[in-house]
Amino acid sequence: MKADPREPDDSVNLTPTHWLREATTLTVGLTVVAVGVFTTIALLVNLLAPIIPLRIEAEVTEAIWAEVQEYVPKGGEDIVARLDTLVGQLANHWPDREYDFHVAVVEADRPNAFALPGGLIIVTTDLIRIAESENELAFVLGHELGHFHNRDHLKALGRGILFDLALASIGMGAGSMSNLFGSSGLLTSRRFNRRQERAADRFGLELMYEQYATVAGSLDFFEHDLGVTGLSETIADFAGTHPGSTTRIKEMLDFVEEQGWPLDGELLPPVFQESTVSDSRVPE
Amino acid sequence: MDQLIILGFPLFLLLLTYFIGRHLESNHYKSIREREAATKDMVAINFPRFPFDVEIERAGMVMGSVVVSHDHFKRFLAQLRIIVGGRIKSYEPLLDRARREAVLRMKEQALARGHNTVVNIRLETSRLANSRRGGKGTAGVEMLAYGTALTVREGL
Amino acid sequence: MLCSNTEDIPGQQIVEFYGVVTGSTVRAKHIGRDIAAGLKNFVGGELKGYTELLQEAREEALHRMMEQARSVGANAVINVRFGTSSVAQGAAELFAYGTAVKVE
Repeated sequence: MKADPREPDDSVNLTPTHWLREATTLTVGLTVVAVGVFTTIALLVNLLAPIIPLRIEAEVTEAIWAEVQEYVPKGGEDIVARLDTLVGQLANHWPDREYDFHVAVVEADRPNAFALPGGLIIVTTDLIRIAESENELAFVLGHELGHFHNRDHLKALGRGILFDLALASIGMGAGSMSNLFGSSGLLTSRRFNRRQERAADRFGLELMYEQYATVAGSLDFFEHDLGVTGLSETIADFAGTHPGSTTRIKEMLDFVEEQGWPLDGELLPPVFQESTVSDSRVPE
Repeated sequence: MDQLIILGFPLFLLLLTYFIGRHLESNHYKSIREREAATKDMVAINFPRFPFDVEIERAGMVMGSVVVSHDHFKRFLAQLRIIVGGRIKSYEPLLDRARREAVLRMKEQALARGHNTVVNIRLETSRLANSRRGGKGTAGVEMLAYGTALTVREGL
Repeated sequence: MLCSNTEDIPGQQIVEFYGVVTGSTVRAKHIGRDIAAGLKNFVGGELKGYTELLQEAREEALHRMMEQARSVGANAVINVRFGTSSVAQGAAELFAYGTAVKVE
């Protein structure tokens, strides 16, 4: 017997791998699964949302308005009152509504409007400044009413909750991995997606037609809008919550043509001028 | 535009650490292989007694230890793997290097003290936790190899 | 003072056993090593600061164990083993223990 030291094969403990290939496979595979899960969640939510009565959604979210009231800026009360009246008139064409709508005006140097759960519609000062006609504002407000009509808040909330649950179920609660998938979650988003925005556009056009017998002025908002063009518009279109203006305008024009609504007609002076909100009803 | 930057920067970091890590790892393996070749004639066993008689001049304890850490890219791979399951291949080189380096250092210490054999080699691993994140992350892994070095008279 | 992690000192005869002796030390990292380690965590490789820290700590633990052995009159320690435990955030205890004996 003697000792005979030998060197063993050192490669048995290592699995020969192309690291970059493994990284791509894993990432792509997981992203595909994630997108699949998100799509299923979106479909599920779209199926279940109509089951929940609008009244319940309105009651539950109106508590938010009660909370938020004290934070809403108080200035410009006459403008707010006029916008309130305009919204009320438009909402009358939606008899099944269960919401009480409130308008608030916020300082901002971009023209924009938001619908918040609870019946709150926020309009920026820049939007009011830029609006050239009451019709233009009516379209914007009608679009926001469309989000309430389509239960978009409920769906966004549902998607958000289920998305968080799905992540938590694989133990990824608030970790760094969820940030990675969160940014891909932007695309299948928790906020209103492009389909919802399109539907809200159509509802806004409908309300306008009911109110004014014409949809003149509805596209003016987009002509005043951000002015993004070219590559940035494509990127904003892809990743943003509002579809890019050119696509959107085209879709609206197609819809209007389908419905046979007139695109020209008399435009009423905007809300902030001396003359108050028109009392026009559809002349029959 | 910012979305591209938000996605692009981590990607750049991953690629950068992939290349740097790969370079450092292959350098380390080259060094390990050279030193293993240099010490391969040294008898090293992990039980305490030779099954046959030998004449022992001197004995003493020797240790070798090293603390190693992963690179960002390999850690990212491991996190993905933990979700999917299966062999975490990206951690294999790390532990392999650490173990071989620790054993080499122990042997080199034995040689430096004039011994020519090491018996009863034991290996121990401990994880150093990241103290800044409340112990959740891993700052490094320590591998310790220790044994008793002998100077054995010729005739083995 | 001789040490060995086997059950005897190879080449010597044990004549008396004195019992278990231990040596331990608690060490903490300082912020400089922490930051350097944080950077090294990005590119991977050996964390030399930590390696040295732990090596020194282990030497010290061994040294203390041998002190204890000397205090009972031993001239060797056999069957030496190591252990670690985490006692606080950022600090770890390192200990070494073995049986103190007299050999000739």
